[in-house]
Amino acid sequence: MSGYDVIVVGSGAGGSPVAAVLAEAGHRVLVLEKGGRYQESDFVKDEIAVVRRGAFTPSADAEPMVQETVGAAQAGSGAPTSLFWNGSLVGGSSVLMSGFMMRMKPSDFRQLSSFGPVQGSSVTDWPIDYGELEPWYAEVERQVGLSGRVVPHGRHLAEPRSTPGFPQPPLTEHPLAQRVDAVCARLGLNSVPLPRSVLSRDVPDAPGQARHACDYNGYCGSFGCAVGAKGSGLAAFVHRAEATGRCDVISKARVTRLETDASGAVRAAHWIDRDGRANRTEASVFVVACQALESARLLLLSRGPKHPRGLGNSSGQVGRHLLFCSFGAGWGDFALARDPALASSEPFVNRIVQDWYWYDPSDPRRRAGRDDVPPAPGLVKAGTLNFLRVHPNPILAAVTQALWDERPDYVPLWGAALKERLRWYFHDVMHLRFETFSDWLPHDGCWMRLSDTTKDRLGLPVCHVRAVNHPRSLQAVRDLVARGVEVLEAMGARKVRTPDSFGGPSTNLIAGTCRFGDDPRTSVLDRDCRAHDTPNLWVTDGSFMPSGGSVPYTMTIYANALRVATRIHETLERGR
Amino acid sequence: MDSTPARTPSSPSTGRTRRDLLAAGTAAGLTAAGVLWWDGLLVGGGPRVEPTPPGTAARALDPALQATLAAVQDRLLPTTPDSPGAASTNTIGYLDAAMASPDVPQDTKDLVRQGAAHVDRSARWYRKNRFHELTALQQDAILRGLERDIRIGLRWLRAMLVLTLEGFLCDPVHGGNRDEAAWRWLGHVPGPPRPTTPYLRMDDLAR
Repeated sequence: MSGYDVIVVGSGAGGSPVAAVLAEAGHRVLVLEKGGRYQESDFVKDEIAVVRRGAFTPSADAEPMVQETVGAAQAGSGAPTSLFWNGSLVGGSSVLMSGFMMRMKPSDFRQLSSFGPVQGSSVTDWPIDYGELEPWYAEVERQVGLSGRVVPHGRHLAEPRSTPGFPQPPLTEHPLAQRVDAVCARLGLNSVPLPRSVLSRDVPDAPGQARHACDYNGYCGSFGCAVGAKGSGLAAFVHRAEATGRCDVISKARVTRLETDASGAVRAAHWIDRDGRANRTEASVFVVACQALESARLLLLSRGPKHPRGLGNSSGQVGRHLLFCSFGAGWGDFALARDPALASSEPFVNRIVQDWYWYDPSDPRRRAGRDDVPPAPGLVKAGTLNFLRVHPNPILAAVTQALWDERPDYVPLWGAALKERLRWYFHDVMHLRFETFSDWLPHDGCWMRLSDTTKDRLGLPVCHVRAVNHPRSLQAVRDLVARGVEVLEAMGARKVRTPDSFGGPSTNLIAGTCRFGDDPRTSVLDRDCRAHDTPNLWVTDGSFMPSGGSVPYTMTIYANALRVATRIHETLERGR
Repeated sequence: MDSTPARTPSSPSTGRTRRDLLAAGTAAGLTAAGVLWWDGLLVGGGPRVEPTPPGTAARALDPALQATLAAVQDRLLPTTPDSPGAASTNTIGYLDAAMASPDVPQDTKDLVRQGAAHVDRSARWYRKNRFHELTALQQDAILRGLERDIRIGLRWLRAMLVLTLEGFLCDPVHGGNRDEAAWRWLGHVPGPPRPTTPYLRMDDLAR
């Protein structure tokens, strides 16, 4: 096996766009993916297998990570955990995502300049600005096939666009969407249609494999899409890459080390194949994109003569500034007897409210949704409220109804009382939920490193994770959840409730660990996401992000991967 | 509601030694049904499960254990003339498969077995040998008693509820939700494609 120009480690949202772009540009690409490969027909809507047994995620026994327990703001016990795995398969966890595709805002690219320093936080500006990434956001919308609708809203909230709208019309919506619009109009808030990487129309000529419009079964998040509607790395990029004939994707191939030579450049990837055999494959360029924790781990495991502390780690920055999203939620219900118009099975609400993307905790009138409140030092960054229907998984719903009761001692419901509750839940009410994508300030107390104590089955140290939120971000998400509750109550929702605790890490949104920047002393990657200290090594997953904005990361990871892929292409062309 | 607790016995007469009682009492306290939770573990009791004979389908539950757990599930999710429940949807079929699955944590399996042994022992209070021989009211009294044992009894009850609801609302391919009766009762529409085999490890499919 030889003759590759590029080896990409990981086939998810960070790796698959690079593979597609470079293969289409004429380069020979090898993608090594540790997870398995599935057909669309394998993506069964089986709640037991996929959700309750985590069929696509490694178990804590097979592939542990270790989470340090500090304080009360995060889950975990210090024992081996599988909490940070989100899907190990060709296409990565993007196969299992919901596909909420929001752009970051211009102020997110200069968070330090916009909002000023925060004590105890390593918040900084990005080395590139919104304008540099904007064309690539537009490319994601086009290439992945985003559905949505652009509406004018908040002078400071609406991201500048180079294109008028989305390539696909919006998905059909549940009547709750109009209710959110109406209450926001009344409250002086901006209800914004949420772009989705879900096709509303067929794309029969998608390269490699046709993609079909959504069939509205509602099983998006946690499940794979069986019709190609979801714009996963698999549906949108892997098939495209393979259709060139110049890209090989090897599944169940675990990269254990990148070998460097005396000059400090990467020469080869060492990997274990599905049969346990050790392989060594050379290439000119190496792209690491196996999610923020595992990418950092691979760099730290890849020590070499010029890299005694691991690749990219000359300044000891690999693994630092680990980012999550501050999770929060709330939900309430509407009695269908009083409001029969809500008895619809449409799965999508697709509304976001970003009026508290930044805000003044001491003055409720000063918030991002108001045209007279631009980003300014002293304002606090919170984030996005995403309104959605409760997931259709019936077991999840029933278990929640049985075990999550308003009574504080948590005695579960059973017997006739449980059956009555289930009948009520499924027949009598419509539920509306909100979830937050709230800021997670980078700081020195949140990081990953190689574990001193725990090794995987190959004898390699696993990720040791310290997932601690910054007090400012914790306060911000509490405030944001309170605002979400107010919106639900203003809609007339009853029994509005929130989880017992929030502000913990959203374990499906992980970034940081290989921050990009212009100063090699404080960053791992340069502005093109090439390692400062390793000339032919790029990192293209969420690792590069110095801050996460207050939106899901996939849109930005896709856009940045497309941007970086063109840089890699230029580099390869210069070397010819 | 048909699960009003019966009068709860207040003093155990299990014939164990004072040392056992002290040790067990320290470990978990008395349950309301008057039987010590951990006694089976401490004195080496508990159900003895015969290994599955070679050549038969891998099943985890012997008939005795199955009878006990099915009776528990029937109280957690009772079947009525106009609505399905654990018995009518065969949740025990799902539980049997789950107890044999490598993807269900061993401590959950251990907990299920320990709880079953406990409720069988509790049946002695009503001069019966097995939980499933009791009346519904007597069974409910024992289960209500477990609610007050926050350390373990409640934990077992929660685990049994989760496993029972999984069996009630799973795709029938996993052994429960017979004829999709639970889905039909609740108006739930499953998504396509449906599973055709009860694999719990997608890895078996992966290339």
